Amino acid sequence: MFLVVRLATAKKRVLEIINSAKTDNRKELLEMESKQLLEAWGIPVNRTLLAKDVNEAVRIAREIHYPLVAKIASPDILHKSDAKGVIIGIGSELELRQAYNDILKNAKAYKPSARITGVTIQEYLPQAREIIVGAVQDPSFGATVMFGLGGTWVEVLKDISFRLAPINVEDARDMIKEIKGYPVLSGLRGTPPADIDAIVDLIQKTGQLAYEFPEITELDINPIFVFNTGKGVMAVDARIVLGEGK
Amino acid sequence: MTVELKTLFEPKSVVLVGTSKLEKEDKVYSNLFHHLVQNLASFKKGKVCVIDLEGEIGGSYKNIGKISNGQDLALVLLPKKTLYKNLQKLLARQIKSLVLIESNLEEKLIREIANIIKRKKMVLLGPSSIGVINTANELFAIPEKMQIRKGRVAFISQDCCVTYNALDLAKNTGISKMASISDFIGSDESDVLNYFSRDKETKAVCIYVKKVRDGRKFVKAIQETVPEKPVIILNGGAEKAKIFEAAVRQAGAILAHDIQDMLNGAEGLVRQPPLRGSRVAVVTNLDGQAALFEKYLFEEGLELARPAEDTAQKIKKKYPSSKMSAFVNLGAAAKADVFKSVVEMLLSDDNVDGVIIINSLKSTLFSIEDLREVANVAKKSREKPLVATVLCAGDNQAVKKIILNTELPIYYQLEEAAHVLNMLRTRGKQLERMNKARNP
Repeated sequence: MFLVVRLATAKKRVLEIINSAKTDNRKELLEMESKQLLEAWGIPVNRTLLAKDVNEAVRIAREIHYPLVAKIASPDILHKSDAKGVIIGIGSELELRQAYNDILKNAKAYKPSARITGVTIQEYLPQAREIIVGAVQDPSFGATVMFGLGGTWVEVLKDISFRLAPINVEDARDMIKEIKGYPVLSGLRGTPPADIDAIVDLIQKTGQLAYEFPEITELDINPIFVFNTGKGVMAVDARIVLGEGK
Repeated sequence: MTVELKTLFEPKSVVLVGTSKLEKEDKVYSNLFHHLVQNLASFKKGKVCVIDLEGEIGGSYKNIGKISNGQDLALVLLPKKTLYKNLQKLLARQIKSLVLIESNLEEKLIREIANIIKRKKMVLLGPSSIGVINTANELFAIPEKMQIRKGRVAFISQDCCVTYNALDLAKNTGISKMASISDFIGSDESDVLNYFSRDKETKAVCIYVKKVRDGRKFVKAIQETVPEKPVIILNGGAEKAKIFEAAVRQAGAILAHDIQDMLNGAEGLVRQPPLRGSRVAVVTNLDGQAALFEKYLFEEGLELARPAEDTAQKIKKKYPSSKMSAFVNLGAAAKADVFKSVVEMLLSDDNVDGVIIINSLKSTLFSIEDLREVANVAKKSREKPLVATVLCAGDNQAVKKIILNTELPIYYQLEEAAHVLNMLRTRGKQLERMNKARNP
């Protein structure tokens, strides 16, 4: 019963976020919204709060604690790194004030017409193995879920696996083992194994999300940090594109 | 919606519409029409009526108006310019299923035809279909002269050239049924698969797909078939191949590399039980080839079996000249009796999940007669698979006869056999998973 109520609440929250973007006539959610949506769906995300001005950024920083990550929030800038809109490892208030201004300046230089919502202040996570989990609506097969090692490698190596959603535990486990890079996760030369169960759960939830909401035409959670067994996973960036659905 | 295809494969009445006297660029239609008429002469389970619109084939009618209403199956082989007019007359006769062979049609016309078919709840194969085959009732409704034997593998294809190629490659082992479908209209791969899944003569289904129309319907059809019989798919579409292949594999289908591989796998799966583990023992009269095979086996994710100490000693004691290394080499002088008893010992060893025999017919005393005798062991092995490769056999007719008359899958290349073992293993895993899902 509890689960049913929780699922209903999650669905309601996801729809709220989707509808709010639709009302604004936006096809792509802001990073902040994507993360709120994932969080509502039970997918862990790093703490991300929106600062509309530099003083708000400083206030948020006190709550989240240094070191921090700051990223541009704009519906018109999809590739934040290309716009030099991401600064990581911010260690103090002084650095944060500087970073905030730099990010705004860079964004304006990159695309003068861009609407700037603000800057997101995010929890900085220790280095971990990175994975990517995504979903697309295939015109013939419907909701499909994708898995691969994260970072820039995924684009070059195309070492990714697919399944139809929704997906059971066994298939999710197979998906992880199927990629050539699997030893990176299972533990190489004395590295402790990554939290595979948490990845399985994440893949299943992502699949379920795409299956329940055909209007989510593209979903990319990249990167997701994977910690050692028992320590879980955490989504650090996410991109959600909306379409007509079925 | 799934369509009932009985009238297509088991018609009680067949009507054939074409013209035997076309000239110039249309002559090919007449040629194909002649073949079709000849092929249908062997069909004795129903009435065949030939309409030769402008020719004089013996016993034929000249006018579609002559046929009675409610024919089960109509095959139409006409060029574009005369097709639609005659098709309208034919459709007015309440036929139940239609095969459209012409490929050169505008999409608008095709859609129109499809709408009529849908409204009348008829079955349509094509356009660009080469028809249907059912070897059980000797219905060879294809416009090409081919020798087609009765077999246990059914074939669905979205491309007519691939179909001819597959029929040619399967001429030794045979097929049970064949349907040549269009990739965008009429009965689709899922409809035909649903029909084949219930067909008693079909023990495995091969499908060549370029573009699947309704992915979820196809997945469901595969899921419903695989508990009973294996489904082997060759994907001809490059676009989104990864998603397609992942989806059909998830549903329980087995993927093939090419047409030959698809048929090899189907025959292996029909003749032998699945591999329940990944350990394969090699029995041979050739060291070098066995070593090469080990490489292929490894590439397929399988491994060489290490027979139990007890089995190894028994073999050595009985056949002192045999060499036990990673594989069992019985030597160039070994004949059928030695092979048979060693294979049986290995098949009953708990450390062995399956056995492959690698033989050469050159530079050894092993002969065709020996192969025939050894093949009989395959009939007895119902728990673990036994496959064979016969090297240096070339186009040996005697080997083909053995393949036809026994349950031993025999391949001419080591890689082919290694990949079939992989398919047998995939099937084994799938059945395990299905069992587990049924009795958790």
